[in-house]
Amino acid sequence: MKRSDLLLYAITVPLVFTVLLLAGIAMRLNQADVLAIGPTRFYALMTLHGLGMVGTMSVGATAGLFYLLKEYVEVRASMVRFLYVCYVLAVVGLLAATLLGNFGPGWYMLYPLPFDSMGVWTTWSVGVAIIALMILDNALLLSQYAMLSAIVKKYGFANAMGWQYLRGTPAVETPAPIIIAMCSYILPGIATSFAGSVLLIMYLGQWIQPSLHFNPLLAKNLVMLWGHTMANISLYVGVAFVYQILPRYTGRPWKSNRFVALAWNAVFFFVLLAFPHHLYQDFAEPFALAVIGQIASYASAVPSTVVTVMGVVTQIYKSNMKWGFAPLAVVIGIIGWIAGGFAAVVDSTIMVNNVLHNTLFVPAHFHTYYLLGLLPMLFGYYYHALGSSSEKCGMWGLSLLIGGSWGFLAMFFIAGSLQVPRRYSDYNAIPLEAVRAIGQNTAALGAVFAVLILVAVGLLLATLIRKSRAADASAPH
Amino acid sequence: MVNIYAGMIAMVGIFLIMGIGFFVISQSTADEDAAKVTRSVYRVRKYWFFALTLILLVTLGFTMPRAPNLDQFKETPQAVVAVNGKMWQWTLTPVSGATSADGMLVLGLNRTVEFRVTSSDVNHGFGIYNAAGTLLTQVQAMPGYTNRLLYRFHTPGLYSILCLEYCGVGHQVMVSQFKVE
Repeated sequence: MKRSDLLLYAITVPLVFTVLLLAGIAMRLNQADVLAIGPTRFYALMTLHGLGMVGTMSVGATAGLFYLLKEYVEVRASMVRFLYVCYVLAVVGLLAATLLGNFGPGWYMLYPLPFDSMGVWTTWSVGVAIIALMILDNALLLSQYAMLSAIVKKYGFANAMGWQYLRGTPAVETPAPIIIAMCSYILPGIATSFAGSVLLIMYLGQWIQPSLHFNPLLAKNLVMLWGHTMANISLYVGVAFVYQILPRYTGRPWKSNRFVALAWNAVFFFVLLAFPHHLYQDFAEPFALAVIGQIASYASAVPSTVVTVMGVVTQIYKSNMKWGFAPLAVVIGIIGWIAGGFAAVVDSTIMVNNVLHNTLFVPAHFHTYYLLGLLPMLFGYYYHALGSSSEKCGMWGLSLLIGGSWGFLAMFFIAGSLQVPRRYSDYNAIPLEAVRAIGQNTAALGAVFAVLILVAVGLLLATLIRKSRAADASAPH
Repeated sequence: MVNIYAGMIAMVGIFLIMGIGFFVISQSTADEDAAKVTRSVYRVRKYWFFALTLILLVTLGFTMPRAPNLDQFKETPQAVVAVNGKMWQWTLTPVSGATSADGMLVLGLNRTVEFRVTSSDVNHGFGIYNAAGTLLTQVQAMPGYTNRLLYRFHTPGLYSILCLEYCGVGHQVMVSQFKVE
């Protein structure tokens, strides 16, 4: 993979992010009763925003991982370009389906809603959206497979998983980022992309032959396994960026050991088993699955904080390191990841979820780990890898991102804690004055803070595309 | 109150995490031998591992038995109401122990009510709010399944049902009300 390939992603991903952010601002303004786009347009934008953001962040993270891995293994460059083409096709397809066809069943397209819109969205838009998602999902699946096969070819499966450390015979030293990628991204990624493929084939089948019907509970399990895990694992790619970058700035080695191997092997299971926490309120689902969901969600806090966070502390504490945009951005990203993760753990408690599920508390937590977690980690890694030179511009962007996100997220958390429902185009029909007022006021303030985020993303993009220097000029490698 | 406690725990926790993060960053300019730092952090790590495991186990032990999903197996209802969600309205039909007045469902005070919740089209969410705007409980309404939600109302008054699962373009107007007296 060439530097120009990464640059292409580093420009495209923030640009698409910006468009999707504008859709988000329009949605918040509509909820605030400042803008009147109507429910049909609102839900189409909501679907575009949700699907687009998860896809864009996943693709952005995957591209970064491709570039990171080239230091260790040989991954086919054609796969990177293939993923890019598929991503662009998927974005165009989703834009057409939502903006022209009013496709609006939400990112999770909860079965059977896509096929029962009461005439709100067009039939063709359903097919276009399904095909667009199939293209993206399979491109990600093939990308993950390409990375897996390259890693296994060089290290062997067991060594890449770090099992030699568990056996106490580390004959081969495997780089830590490889273990991270293997355990927490690539393998669950392949499993869940496959689940997504199955679901999309079912959807495509019903789109072609409307007399086909499927079990809604099975479809819901599949979509949550796919969607939740896809969003979750992209965060772990961000951690791989941290593993890669920090030692170059602190001068301290970050080696694999038994704890690292144990932690990330455990993450593999926790990541895959956490998704039932989306189905707590489906009492028809076996309760054992809810129990597994809560235990896995709780357990995922252990490796994240005990191994990764402590590893970061070991790296930077009293290291006399020279801070720059890249290391600061990825460390901010780790803090945001843990902060968002903590709120997620709170909401993954079944008795808590009963009064917070599908309130604005849910977008509060995942916007935290996207805005203050993955986004800065992604920019930090791109900056580091591309050898950009606009340090000052980046720092301004990062400061604005932190400030804007704080305000934006606080509005979600306050409204969520006070149980304002999510996915409401407006709050006017709610017969409860308190809920309606909180929803509208926090939406208005949230939109203002989101504008700061918009400016921040613009500055961060400018940081990447301004006059670049040679990668080896001054950035530590 | 669970929502308020949860919200406060989340927000205090986030402040604490960010505070610790910025403290560690502020300490990065000092210079100390890496091996010494590693030993100190590993010592903290050991305590943190046991403390975190203990906190998680205690929280699991405390919260799991209180999962509302289990109420259907523990309690015997004194009233039963059939609930059907359909784009974009709720139909509440008293089955036993409940009445209907002027087209509105009326439930008795301090009686365990079983809501048998289903849907005849897409997924909906049956969320019950009290007059103060507090979400008391909820369950999903899924086509082909009946979810049994048990709840006991301790305060008389007007309660609102809001849809808590996105169900299409009329999701935000899928509202209904019932009385407890």
